[in-house]
Amino acid sequence: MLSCKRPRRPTQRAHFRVSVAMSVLVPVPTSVLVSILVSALLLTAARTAIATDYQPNYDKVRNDQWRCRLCSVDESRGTVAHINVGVISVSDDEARFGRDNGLNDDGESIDLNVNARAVGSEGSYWDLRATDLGFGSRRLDLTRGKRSSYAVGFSWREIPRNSYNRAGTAFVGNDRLRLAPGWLRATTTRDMDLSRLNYASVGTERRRGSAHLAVHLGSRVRVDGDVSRETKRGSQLTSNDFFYQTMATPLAINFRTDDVNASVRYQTRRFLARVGITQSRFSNRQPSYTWDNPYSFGPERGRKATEPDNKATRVFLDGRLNVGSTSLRFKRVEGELSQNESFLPVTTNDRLMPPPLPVTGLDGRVNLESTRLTLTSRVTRRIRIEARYRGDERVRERRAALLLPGVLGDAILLPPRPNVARNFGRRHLRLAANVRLTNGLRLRLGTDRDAYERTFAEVTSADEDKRWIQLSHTSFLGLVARLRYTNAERDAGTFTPRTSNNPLTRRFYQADRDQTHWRGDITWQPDGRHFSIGAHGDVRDNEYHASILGLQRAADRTVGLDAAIFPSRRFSLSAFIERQRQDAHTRGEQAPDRPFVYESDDEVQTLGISLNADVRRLTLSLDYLLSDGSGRNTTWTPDVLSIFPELVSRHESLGLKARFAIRDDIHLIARWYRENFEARDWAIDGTRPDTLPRLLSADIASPDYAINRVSLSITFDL
Amino acid sequence: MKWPALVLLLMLGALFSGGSSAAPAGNHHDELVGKLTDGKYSRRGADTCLKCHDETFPTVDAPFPTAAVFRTAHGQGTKASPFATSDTAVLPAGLQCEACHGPAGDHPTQILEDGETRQAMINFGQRANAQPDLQNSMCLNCHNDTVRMAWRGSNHEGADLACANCHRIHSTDDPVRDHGTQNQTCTSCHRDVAADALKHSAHPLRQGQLNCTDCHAIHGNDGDALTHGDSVTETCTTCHGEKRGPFLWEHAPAAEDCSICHVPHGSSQPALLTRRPPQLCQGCHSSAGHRSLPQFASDVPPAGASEYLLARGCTNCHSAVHGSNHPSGDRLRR
Repeated sequence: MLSCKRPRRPTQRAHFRVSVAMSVLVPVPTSVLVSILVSALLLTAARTAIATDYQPNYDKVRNDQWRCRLCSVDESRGTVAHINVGVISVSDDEARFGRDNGLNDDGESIDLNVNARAVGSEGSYWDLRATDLGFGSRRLDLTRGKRSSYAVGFSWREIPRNSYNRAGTAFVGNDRLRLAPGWLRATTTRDMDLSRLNYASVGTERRRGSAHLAVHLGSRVRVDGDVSRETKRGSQLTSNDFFYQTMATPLAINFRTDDVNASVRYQTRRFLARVGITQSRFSNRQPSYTWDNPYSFGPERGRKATEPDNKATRVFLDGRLNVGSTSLRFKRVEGELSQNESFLPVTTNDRLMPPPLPVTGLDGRVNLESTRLTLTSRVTRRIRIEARYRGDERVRERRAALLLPGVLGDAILLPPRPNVARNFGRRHLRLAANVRLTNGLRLRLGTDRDAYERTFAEVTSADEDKRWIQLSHTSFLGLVARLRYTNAERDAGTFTPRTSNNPLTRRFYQADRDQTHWRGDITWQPDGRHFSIGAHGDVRDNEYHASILGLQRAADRTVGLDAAIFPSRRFSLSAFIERQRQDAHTRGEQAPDRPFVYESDDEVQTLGISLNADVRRLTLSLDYLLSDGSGRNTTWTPDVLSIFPELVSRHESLGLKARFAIRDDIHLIARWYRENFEARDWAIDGTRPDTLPRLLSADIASPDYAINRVSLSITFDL
Repeated sequence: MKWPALVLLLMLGALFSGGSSAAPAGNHHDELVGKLTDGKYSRRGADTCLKCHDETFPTVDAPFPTAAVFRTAHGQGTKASPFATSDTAVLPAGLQCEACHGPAGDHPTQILEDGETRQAMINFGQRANAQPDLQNSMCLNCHNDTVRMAWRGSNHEGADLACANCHRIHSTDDPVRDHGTQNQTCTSCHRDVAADALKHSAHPLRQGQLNCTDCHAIHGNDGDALTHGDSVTETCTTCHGEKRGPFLWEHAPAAEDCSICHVPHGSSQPALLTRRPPQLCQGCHSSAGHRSLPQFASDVPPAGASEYLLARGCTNCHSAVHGSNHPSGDRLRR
């Protein structure tokens, strides 16, 4: 067996190891823990020599006679409400226009928003916020409480996600996908009658209802709890196959997620501890579905498993201890993921007769553990240090390995093969210092060490060292600036081939990597002037220098400018422009003498302009956004340079809003919003359902629209 | 590139440090710290302050909204608030204006000579008298609960962010706490996220269906990228519980970390992917057969057509890409 052993770097490093068979409690490396605790003890013992972290001196306070006669506390009580009601009109149908707010159909909708708040004596209050009540993204939040005593609340959210108003597939149905009426099976898509495609909208809607309660038991104890239920219903597009025949199908979505969280907190000025439990149950009301074969050969029907029901439970203990200017934070989490969905039959093809399954379900359990310790301390008035440890584990238990028969594409019987229970572990250690060089100048520097462990991976361990330094300055003649440099080196361990992959391939998330990251921003607002200008930049380079095949480099670059003028409270104008670029370079090999390279280069330029002006009783707002994105993909071999058509994604929108005060408590609001969007994607736009003989793709197209949205509403202030 | 970077940064620091003594904002730090230590509070609390800081200060046309604080939780006189009236209030509760702005010192009693400026008080914001860490320490004197206990050492603290950069205290409207305006507050600094939200595929950030705080613990967390959960995957599966697993057949990067393949805010690729198939997939998968075949522009209509490239690419067949619970799903096709 080929083994590519890479020589280790000759530096000493701590090594963290995870054993698959380890016990539930993962010990924090003793040396790390002792170091942190000893540091904490030394620092607290030397408290008299350490400057306190801006602790006020209350020795001279004599506030028992403070009457607050000029305070307008009583006048501030009562109820304040704003009710906004009106009509919205959308000029055209388009899923993407209403992708997230439900305004994907033309026509009129009611626009209703309510914002109300009542403040009573002794800190009692209730708060109501309701938005978008007239259409698909409605939201309601209601809270009742008394400060430092209790709070109880209820929330309701509806979150649409509209993908396509009209997508054509060969299917109708939900859990049993039958061929569309009149469908004639054929050998290839080119022989199919595409006029028989069934068109339906594709999208989902989440509805989430939640309730929360917080109760203070005295001044030190607080109990929190919340429950929520979210349903997600609708459909998505997916794809299925019978070995070499593929077809797009709708997928009915019927999910439910129930969450429960509860915690108890004990807190004094110096000490805080909280213990709690969180549990989430995911339920899929459609554990599987079947689909009829639209081709004239192959199995009549296929069946697919959807995501199984699962449960996640976490118990945690966290808190902090403050002594003078030293703070120690801790957190310990133990959790479990589990699912035991019954297995489907191996195949729908009765002719194959595979051996029986050894078990009826996975009975899968994953133990999760997390430990965090963070120590921060201000050792002098100008220096603060931080030490942090973090350990995370994910360990599969119970029936981790099964030998299972299988069938490929409901056509080819496969020998039994084992599933693989993958475990992960990560250890993180940070040491950092924060130095105030002068009143406005700060230096931050630090180093991180991360150690990764994986099972059943070609690279089972990796270490990463990161160092950073940041210089920031506030208020030099109105100038605020920050510059940060980070360098990280990940050193992958020994590579051991475990799959049929080309042994020269390194999976990028496991591979050696050098990363450099520059980030800076600067803002200038001169004292006494009513304008500001700023600039920011971010450059991140990842080099996978040891990866002969696979991702070899990836870079992100962002640069932007922004400016604002605000000569008075009645007028402001701001603008920003930003350019982002992401590129990646991936190398592959069809044969040892036939390499190829993928290059991708995505660029997005964004421009935004906002204007607000108050003219007597009229308030005007303007918002303009332009996002112009393009993607260039190239494949090259020693013989060929192949340039793909450009990918385009262009968004342009202009919003105007006028708010007129009819009276001090009644306002008329008129809005006009226009959105132009154009996308071109060669993977979709040139692909008809019959473009590929054995890929019956969905009949969809990239969005391209110009839509107006107009609204007129009245706001009443009560 | 490590040591030259350090030298460059220190040189920049030297360049800027020379002028800081002339800068007005944030330059009263030592003086204000001294006032805190001295602890000389006013005789009558808010009644002292409000004699001058009324609705005509600093000008009639543009007053600072002092009185608006009384319509907020800070100004309601409840237990543990700055305006608490109970005899059992634990300091700084009950210190009224000085609970946040620090001891008055000589500020209210000074008789100014020509050209003399009044003794500084702690104020808040980007251009305040006090440095961000001093501003924040005043807030954290009271607000040091589970939400904010990880503030020290957090990313935002490291960016010298003051609480008042995001929060408005003397106002009933605090945009960062309103789900309709929170994202605009965050993206006033995180411009790249505002740009990401406009891309081809994106989380619903633009209309506020998803708020920044739905995923991020903005006051600090010892996790990755300030996410609420102990890991990125735990945060993602809060809403995408169907991806949680464990699956019979796992896709290793999906089980380990969603951000191996996905970006969280917006992407020029479909499904918030970092790169599109097959480039993304062939970055890890290279075995003989179609996995090692390159795809060319001639495979795009009208010149040609490749099922590995068009429609959903690799996921035309391998559609259970996050994992499968089907006995025949080891290739993520069932």
